[in-house]
Amino acid sequence: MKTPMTNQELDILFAESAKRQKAVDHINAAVMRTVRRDLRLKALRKWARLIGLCFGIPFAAVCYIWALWHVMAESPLQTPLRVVCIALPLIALVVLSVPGLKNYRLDM
Amino acid sequence: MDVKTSDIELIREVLHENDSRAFAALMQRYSSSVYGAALRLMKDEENAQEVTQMAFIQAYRQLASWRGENFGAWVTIIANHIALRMLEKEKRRRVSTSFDELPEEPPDEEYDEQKEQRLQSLEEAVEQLPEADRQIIRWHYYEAVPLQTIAQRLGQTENNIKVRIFRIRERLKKKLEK
Repeated sequence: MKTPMTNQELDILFAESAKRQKAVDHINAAVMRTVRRDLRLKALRKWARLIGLCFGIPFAAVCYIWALWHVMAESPLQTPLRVVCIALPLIALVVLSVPGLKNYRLDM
Repeated sequence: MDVKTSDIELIREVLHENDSRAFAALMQRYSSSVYGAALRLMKDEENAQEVTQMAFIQAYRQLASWRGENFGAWVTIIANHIALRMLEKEKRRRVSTSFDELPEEPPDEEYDEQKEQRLQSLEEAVEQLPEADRQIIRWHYYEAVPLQTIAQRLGQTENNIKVRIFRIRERLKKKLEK
């Protein structure tokens, strides 16, 4: 047979439940602080990747071509051979980086 | 509203729109039960809070890999894993500590299975109340809002609010009969 709950028991239960609610609110606030920090970092990474894509990759490519050009300019090889020596690594670089660029996502 | 569908919708909002409020809503829905599960294992409020926090943060970071149906059950499983790992670590630490250095076992009085069940039942019963009644209970018992203020907010007299609280309490007591 069911025992009826007294007013005092219900008051105690409410007090415990309110205490529990405070603990849960504290947990929720702490987790949300971390979630917001993660979101800020995610946004920051997104912009960093965008800047890297727009400026970093072209800059690295220009530096690479410039270095290659200087090395070839001072080499004793004939001009057609120099062109081949510059073109081959560039083609290899493009071929190797295409799959990476294809799957490139800013929000990773 | 279908709870399951709603969970999925909230998760979609978190994943596609980076909406932190959607995750807050999910937490609001499940943090109490996850905390209860953590407390059942840890038997200590401070550690249970830590476990619950870690579980939700882990769930948030792995949200894209979630393929389940019930978000609450998934977070509870994560919390259980974290709690068991913590207990295992603690056990190993105790074994490696010499008996002289061993601190006294803390009193195991913070957790009570029956109390936990009663709390869960009360939360469920309050959740099942009509929105207006639930709001009164929230203000009065959880936020300690004075009766006069509640009466002003609802445009009723203080006596009216007292009667309503009495009736709600009677309904809750009936539902919580042991």
